[in-house]
Order: sequence, then C-alpha cells, then structure tokens
Amino acid sequence: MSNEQTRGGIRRRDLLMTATVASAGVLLQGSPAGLKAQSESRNTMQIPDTNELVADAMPKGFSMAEIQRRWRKCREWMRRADFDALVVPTVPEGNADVKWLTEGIPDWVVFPQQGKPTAIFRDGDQDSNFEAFMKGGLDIKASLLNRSELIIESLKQAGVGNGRIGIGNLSGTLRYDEGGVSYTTLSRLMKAFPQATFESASDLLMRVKLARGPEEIGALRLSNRIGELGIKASVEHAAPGVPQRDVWFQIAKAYLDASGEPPGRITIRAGAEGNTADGRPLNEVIQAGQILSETLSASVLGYNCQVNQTICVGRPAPENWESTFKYNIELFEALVDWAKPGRTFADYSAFYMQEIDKRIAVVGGKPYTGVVFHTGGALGDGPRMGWGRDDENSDLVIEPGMVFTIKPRVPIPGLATPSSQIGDGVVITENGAARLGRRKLEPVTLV
Amino acid sequence: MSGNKNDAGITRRELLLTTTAVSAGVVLQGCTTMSTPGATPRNTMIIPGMAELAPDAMPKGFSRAELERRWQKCREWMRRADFDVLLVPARPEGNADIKWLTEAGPNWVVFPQSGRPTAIFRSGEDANNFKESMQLDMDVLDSRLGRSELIVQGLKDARVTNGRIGVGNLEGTMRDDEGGVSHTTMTRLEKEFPNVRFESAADLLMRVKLSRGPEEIEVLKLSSRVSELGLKAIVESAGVGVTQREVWFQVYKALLDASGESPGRVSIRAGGEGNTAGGAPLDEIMQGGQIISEEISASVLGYNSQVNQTICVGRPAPANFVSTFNYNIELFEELLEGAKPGRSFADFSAFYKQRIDQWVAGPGHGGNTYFGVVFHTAGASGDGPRMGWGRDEENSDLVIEPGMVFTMKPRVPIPGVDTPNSQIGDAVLITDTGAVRLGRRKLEPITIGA
Repeated sequence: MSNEQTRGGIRRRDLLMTATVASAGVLLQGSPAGLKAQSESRNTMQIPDTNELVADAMPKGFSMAEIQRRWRKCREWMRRADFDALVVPTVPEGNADVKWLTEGIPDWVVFPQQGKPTAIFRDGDQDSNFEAFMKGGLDIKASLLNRSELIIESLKQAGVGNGRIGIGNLSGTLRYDEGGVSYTTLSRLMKAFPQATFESASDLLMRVKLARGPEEIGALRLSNRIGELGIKASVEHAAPGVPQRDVWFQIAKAYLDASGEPPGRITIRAGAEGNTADGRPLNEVIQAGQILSETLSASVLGYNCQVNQTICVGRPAPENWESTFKYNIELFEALVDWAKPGRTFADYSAFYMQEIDKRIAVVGGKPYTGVVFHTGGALGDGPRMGWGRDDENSDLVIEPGMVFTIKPRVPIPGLATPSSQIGDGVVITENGAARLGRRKLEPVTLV
Repeated sequence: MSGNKNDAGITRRELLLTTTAVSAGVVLQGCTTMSTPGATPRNTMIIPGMAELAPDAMPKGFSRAELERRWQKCREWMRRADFDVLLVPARPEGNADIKWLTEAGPNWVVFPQSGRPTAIFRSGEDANNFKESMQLDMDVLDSRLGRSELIVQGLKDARVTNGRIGVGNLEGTMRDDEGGVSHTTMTRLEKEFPNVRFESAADLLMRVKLSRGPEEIEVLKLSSRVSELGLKAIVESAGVGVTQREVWFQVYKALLDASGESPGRVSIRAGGEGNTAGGAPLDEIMQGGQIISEEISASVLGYNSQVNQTICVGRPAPANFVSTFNYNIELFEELLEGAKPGRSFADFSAFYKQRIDQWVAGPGHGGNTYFGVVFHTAGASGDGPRMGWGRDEENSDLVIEPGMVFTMKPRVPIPGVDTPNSQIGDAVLITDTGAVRLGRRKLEPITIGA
C-alpha cells in the first residue's frame, strides 16, 4: 500500500497545522529516557499527550516555502557536484527522491540547475491539486507510452544536451548498488544526447535530504509519537494464545486512527526478530514467555520515523530478559549522548560495537552487526548505518537537522532469538541528540 | 505490501488444503445472478459459504507439482519464442514473474531452457531460507553487492555464450512500456556476453501465466469469495456521517480475518470512483445519497481477484441509481454469456462499448462512455493485462482461453450523477464452453440503511 495520497482530489496542500502544538522538549523533561527502569506486569502503556494524535489534527501538506527550500538546497548541491540537470525516476520500492522534489507522484522529474523543472506523468495519473499547488512553477507533461521522448524534450528545453546529467537510481542506490533506472529509457537518452555525460546522482539525492527542514522535522516528530502508539497497541493486545495478526491489525488501526494514513511499516514477531515477518500479519499464535519484537513506523505526510521495543508476553519470562532490557536502556542512553554533530557514523557504529563487545565478554551471546541507526524520512530514504555496513556508512557525518532512529540490539543470554531492542527517533541539534518519543523506557512484561 | 510469503521460515509448503471442501458450482446454482433486482434498504449482505473463509482453512502453499507445471509450460513457451534463457528481475511494483517461477522473492532468476535455474538473493538469510524450503532444484546465490556478477555466473553455469536471452521487464511491460530493468546491470551483461542477443521477455512472462493451473484457479476462487466479504463489510459499516477510512479499515479487517493475508487492494470512495482513492483510507465523510465505488481484492497465497459493486449510502438515492444498476446487472450477464474461448478481447471490448453507447443514447440518459479497464486479469501483483475499449496497447491480439481468470467490471454512467458510475465486478473462470462466475453474492442494487 502506498503512503502517498495523491490522486483524485485528495487535498494535502495546506500548511503544516499542528507540528508545533506541543513541545516535545517540555514533555521530555518530565519524562526523561534515563528514568530508573523497573519491570512491572501491566497491559497498557502510558504515553503523554496521546490525545493530540488524531487524524484531524495532522498536517495536511508541506508548504510551498518548504518545496522552495528543497529546490534551493538541491541546486546548491548540484552546483557543487557539477550537475547541469538531474533526471529523477520513480523508484517503486521507495519513491523518496521524487516525493522530496515535488510532493507529487510523477514518474520522472527533470530538474535543471536553472529554470523550470518538469514533472512527467503516465497519462491519467496527473493530479489537479498538484498542478494547483505548483502554480506553474513546474512544467507538467504526460504520456501513456514513450516517456523517454518527454524526458528528451525537457532536457532540450533546459538546454543541457551537452552537459553533465545526474541520473537518480542509476547505481549506488540504497540496498541496490546496481540501481534500477530503466535500461530502455536511459539508452534512448544516451542516444539522443551523445555529447552529454550521464552519471549516477543516487548518492547526492540521498544525502541532500539528510539534514531536514523544520516542516520535515515536525512531520517526523509526529510520526515518531504515533509510532509509539503501535507499541502501546502491542502491550494492550498481545497475550499468550493470541494470533500475531490480531496484534498486527490493532497496531495498523492505531496508526490509521491517529495519522489518517496507512502505516509505513508494521512488522512484528513473537519468538523471533520482528523484521523476519517482513511486514506481514502472521498467523502464528503467541506463546507465554515469548519476546515480541517489532519494527514499527507510522506515516505522517508520507514521512516515517521508526520505533522499536521488545516486550515479554506473559510468564514465565526468560531468566535474563529484564536485566538485558535494562542494559539496553543504558546503551540507548549512551548512544543518545554520543550523537554530536561532526562525529562520523563509522565511529558511532564502532562505539556501539565496543559497548556490545564489553557486554558479551561478561554474559555471552553474539553481537548484532545490522542496522543500528535508521534514517527517518519517506519510503526509500536512507542510509541505514551500523557496524560492518561500510557501503552505507562510508564517510557520513552527524549533522544538525538529521533525524534517525537509534535502535541498539542486545542479545539476551539463554535466548536464541530475538535480541532485546529499543528504538526511538532523535533529531540532531547543534548540541546533540534530542529524543522524539515520549514513552518511558522500561522493561514491559505482560500479564 | 507484498502477498508473497517467502522468507524467514514462514511455512507455506503444504499442499492445497481446503479449496475443494465445497463446490462453488453447487452453491452458484442456488445463488443465480439472474435474480430479480430490488433496492431494499439493508445493512448486511448474505453470501453463501462465508463460514468457510478463515485463515486456518486457507491453502498454505502451492505444491511441487504446480511449480513443475509452471516450469514445463514456461520452457515450452521459451522454445516457441526461441529463448535459450530467461533473465527475470524482481519488479518492486508487482513481482508476479518471479513469484510464478519460484513462489519466493529472489532479486533475479536465471531460467535456462534446460538445466537448473539460479535464484539470486540480496540477503544471505533469505537465500538460506529459500534453500530450506524450495521445492524444485535451483542453484541459490546471494550477494549484497555486484549482483550482475552472479547473473554472469548463472549464465556461464547454463553454458550460454551466445544465443538469445529473454529479459523480463526490459520493455513492453504493463503500464510501463520502457520497462524498469537496471541499466547498470544490463550494460554489464552486454559487455560480458557480446555475442548474446538480449531481447524483452516481458510479454512472454505476462502471457504464459494467463491460462491458470488447477491450484491457481482454486486460489483465485477463494480470493474472489474473500473479496466479496469486503463488499459485505461496506454494507455493514458505511453510513451517512461515517468517515470513509473507517469503512476502509473494516474492509481491510474483513479480508485479513478471512484469508490471514494483507489485502491486495482496498480502494474506496463515496461520491467518486473507487480507484481515485489510490488505495488510501480517506478522511472524507459519507453523505446521504452518495454512491460508494470501490476496488477490492483479497489476497490468498499472494493471488488477488478483484470485486466491485457500487452501493448507495442512505437516502435520498439518486433518481436513476436503481434503474442504472439493473441495467448494469443485465450487461454483466451479457458479458458473462459472451465470454467464450476463441473470442478476442478487442471484440469483447467493442461489444461492451456498443452496449454502453446504446445506454448513453437512451431517453434522458446521456453520460460518457468509459474507456478504462473492463476486463481485469486476476493473479499476483504485477500480473496483467487490463483490457477494455481503447486499450489496444494492452489488448492487442489477446484471445479468451480456457483457464483464464479475470474480473469483468462493466461501468455504466448513472444519469444525473456526475461521479461515480454504476459498476459491478466479479471474477470469472473461462472453461471450454464459457465463463463461470467465481463470486457467490446475489447481484442486486443496494441502498444502505434508511
């Protein structure tokens, strides 16, 4: 299911309405993540101000000022990278690039260094609201077939036929180093512009978005807070004997009711890592004493900020569950403290690994070498950072405006799977990281 | 969300369990679509055999024999098309090709005319899970990076150094004529195999699946029946003043509760065509007298079969809603009668247009002829084509054949209502003698509540 609400007169062009209604900072002071952890059996989760989280109170769209901010920034980055134009294709598995440039769903965007960009639609997919929102600031073209001809026409209009053209999704794309831009389309462009140079702009398009603007941070903050309602729904509905799909469904309902948008991701599993369910509602029945693991993200204006929290379902709890989760809280806090502008994600990942190694030296288990820092944003945004992920980390540095989920995993001694995990979004400020979630971090064991 | 179940050790390898428990034919005899229409206000929909539709009773996977049937058929078609090998990439927007060949989710499949195919995964964990669960022998490779090297290896293992290789999603793909296969990957393959001709196999991969096997047909029957529960959920939850997303959610839940899988599509709108919602749960509030339009398909083993039925919400109903819907039923029945093996979809679409033109020309009628999809292929996400008048790029020379399963969903403009049109959609199975409806609901105009 797509998160993008686009066609057929669905309004989403108003300014952000509510992102600043309540200051997360104030509530964070009253609900510090470093609270002393206690395990208690209960079947609900208290989260401050959940009553604010309803569909009617959500922002209805990004402002034109925000779009202009993105265009200015993108052009600045293009100048630095010496690109005369970008040709940005839809990426079906995550359309963050096209969304960021247009907040619409064209199939292709031709984005020149100067002059009007062009949005190219498959005929019939145009959105009258999109046209009204853009107010002529962008050319719109459509065709059912041969869309490469429209791209060629747009590049000619931009006068960049001999220039250096950056292609989105050509290579070096998140999770797909060989990209996915159409062979047929790009071959036709190369034939039409033999003097032009075509190079991958995947990395530019990923990085240019990482330091978020205020409206984006507002949407991600809301996404994180609604994400926590999914954990609350898990606490309230998971129990021994309950099919996992029933819990999945209640989380989906919680998200839909709160944001009015289909969730970004709900993947939960009891007795295994949440991501192994791969987003599906499983028919497996929850057993007493199993650890429920989840990867959850609600969507606000198509922006997602992931949350995670392992929960023990019923008794008897695994012997080392509670002590491991308490350590998990300490580690999460240490990672929040560590996140300062200017530090590299490579060093950050090494710090995580060093801490886990110290723990394992005492209690045993295998270190997790997957994603620990998960970029917040639209579907397809990245990267995903962690130890041993140099292809995504590389030289990336923590910057103010970045929003990502810190989600350390800690192996639970005596339990093969899942690991203990806490995940919550943070926004990087000039001084460090501020948590976006509001729930109290503590071990939860359900009655 | 994909309907494919493929990794992480989720068992789905048993034979079909329940699809023959009840004969649809028997129930269909007792629930003829030729009922006398009436527009009685109501808040439920009676559908025979609903109690059978629960996750525990759903099939858990396709059999080895079914996969063997597919491979055999695919190789027969490859021989006819003179392809030595097929290279089939994952299609994120609908992965029907890979699913049909593997019932799993590799990123690429190298499928030679003879010998072992190769499945190429990004994740080592996914690859290992597939090795444990695969029913037919395949080489399984994985790499996070540089997957073209694995394709090269797969082609070399298949001893292809020249010849003709069919590439999925290269061009001529449904709804994307320029395809979406990776330029970087293809360029590397061309460099590695300079004597090989790479040509599009998108059309072959779409058409080879159209005439379904017995297990696929049983799954699509179930999908159709579960989808009808979505219509029932609309009747039971929609009403004046109700938010459309509440109805969307009830439909979603009904489909999930019945099949255990996330629905293929839930796109609902009151006062607009269902597909304009784009599958999103809308915050719009339903008004009295609005017509609800929808596209609903449940997923069973990742196979989807769409149903549609416009429903009037409360009163006052538009003056011509009932009469138009009754004509819609007649037209649906005519199309059902007209779906015979050997007839081309171009002819079939022309017949539909002719009947709509007659309706539009009727006294006090008017309206626009609909040029969209009237015959909607059932199957996995990404299967096609979608046929209808004016859709030559998808219809072309396609002929109705036994084993095909598609939804017939004629739209009829409602005089005096700008949007939506009246619509009835239900899947049919083509047999040697004609079409059999897969749904079981009684077709009649419905106005919800008083």
